[in-house]
Amino acid sequence: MNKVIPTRVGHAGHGDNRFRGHSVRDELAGRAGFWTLAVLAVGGRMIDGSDAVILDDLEVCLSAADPRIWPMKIVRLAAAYGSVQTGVCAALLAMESAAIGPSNLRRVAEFLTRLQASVPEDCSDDTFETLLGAHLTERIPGFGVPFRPRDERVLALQGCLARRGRAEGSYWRLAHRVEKVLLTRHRAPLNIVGACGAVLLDLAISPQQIGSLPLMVTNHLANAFEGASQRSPALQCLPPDSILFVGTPARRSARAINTGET
Amino acid sequence: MNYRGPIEDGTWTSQLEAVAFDLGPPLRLHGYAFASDLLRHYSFTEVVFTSLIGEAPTQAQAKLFEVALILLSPLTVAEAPSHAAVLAKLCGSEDAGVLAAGGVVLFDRARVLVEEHAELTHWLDDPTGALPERFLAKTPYERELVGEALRRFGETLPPFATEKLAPNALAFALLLSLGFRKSLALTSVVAIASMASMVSEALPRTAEQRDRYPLDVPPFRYEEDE
Repeated sequence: MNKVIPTRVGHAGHGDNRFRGHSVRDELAGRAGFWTLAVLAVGGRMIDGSDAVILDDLEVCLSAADPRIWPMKIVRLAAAYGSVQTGVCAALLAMESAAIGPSNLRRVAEFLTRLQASVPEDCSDDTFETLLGAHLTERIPGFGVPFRPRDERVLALQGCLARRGRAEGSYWRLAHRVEKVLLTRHRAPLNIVGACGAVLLDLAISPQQIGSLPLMVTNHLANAFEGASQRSPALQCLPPDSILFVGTPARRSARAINTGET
Repeated sequence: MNYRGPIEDGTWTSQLEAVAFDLGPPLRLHGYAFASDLLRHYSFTEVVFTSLIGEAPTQAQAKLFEVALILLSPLTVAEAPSHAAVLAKLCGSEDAGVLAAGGVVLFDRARVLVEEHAELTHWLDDPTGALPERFLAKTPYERELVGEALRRFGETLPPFATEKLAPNALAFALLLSLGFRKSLALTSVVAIASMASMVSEALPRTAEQRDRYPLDVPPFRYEEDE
């Protein structure tokens, strides 16, 4: 006997569909944009247009679509035989649990949430540094920028938030306070994942929901689209001089030896 | 335009390291010539073992690996990977789409099975200890499957292989005893073992059969706040 599975996602009706508690025809159509639906999709609140543009800003500032960057190269390899969706899906699946990239959004959001709960906002810098130290038992995601002194995407996002008068969120300020300490201690500036985590928490989106939002998909899509169009032979199979064998040297199996073959 | 950035200004290696296949010629896998050694002396199953362990198996190891693969191979349409592959086929997906839809579920199911059997590693260090309840055969079918495996392969199986074990537990215990300790290798064995079963359910379906699909199985109930 099948047990009934409850769902709060959607219902197909006559003349109208329901989505997350709303009529598509009467409440969402013409009013809600992509990010409003995306936040609703992961069980969040109905964000308004002024919040949705912040998510637009995030997606734009996250643009780092250079196909040589590791996750983008996965997209290009996956799309090399001509499928856009294979490119997008491979990157999403590979990065879901990866040590780099947006998979860390949930972890950084959880870290900032824990930190804010344990650190009084008006504490001195010395007290803050001491209290932060208790949270630094492992590498903190969201801080540290490879190959360059600062993350140019954070600077772009900072400009957007300032222009929109949204640079005073409590998590945004907390992230910068952490950055100040980590810059001195480990030369680890705030990176875009940390910045996104702070901004999304300031939009009252939970860490679990943050970890599920389809951020950076436009980077993947751009590479998948171009990669699928190119069907690059060099990506389908690298030329031999690009490969360096470092494995086990030539040998014969026990069965080959037993047969007396040379 | 001549843009510069960290990648242009950095120093990078120009070759991708290969650790399993030496492109040759001759092509070699973990040092063994593919044509004149592996192809001549080993079965497909044994080449898979060689790929994942790095050493060509003995006859006894190959037999145990074969038992594990057979035990892990059944995957019915009731289970999510086959179900997803069938649905993709009914939707008219092309072959790669069917395999991808079922395949990602297959890999995730394999991941969960590996996680669920991680504790067996500790038990195998001392197989005389009590076996956790969840690794015991529960249904007559499970007991029949393990019993049949013991009857057919009993002489080659290690002492820990008894009729008390569930089929999957026996399979994982065999794999662990063969040296499959890395989760990626274990996960891939589970996926390889059950891939054909998944495809067997999707293979005969056509998009014209879509109306034969039970749309409300299992049943869902939409809820929202009043």
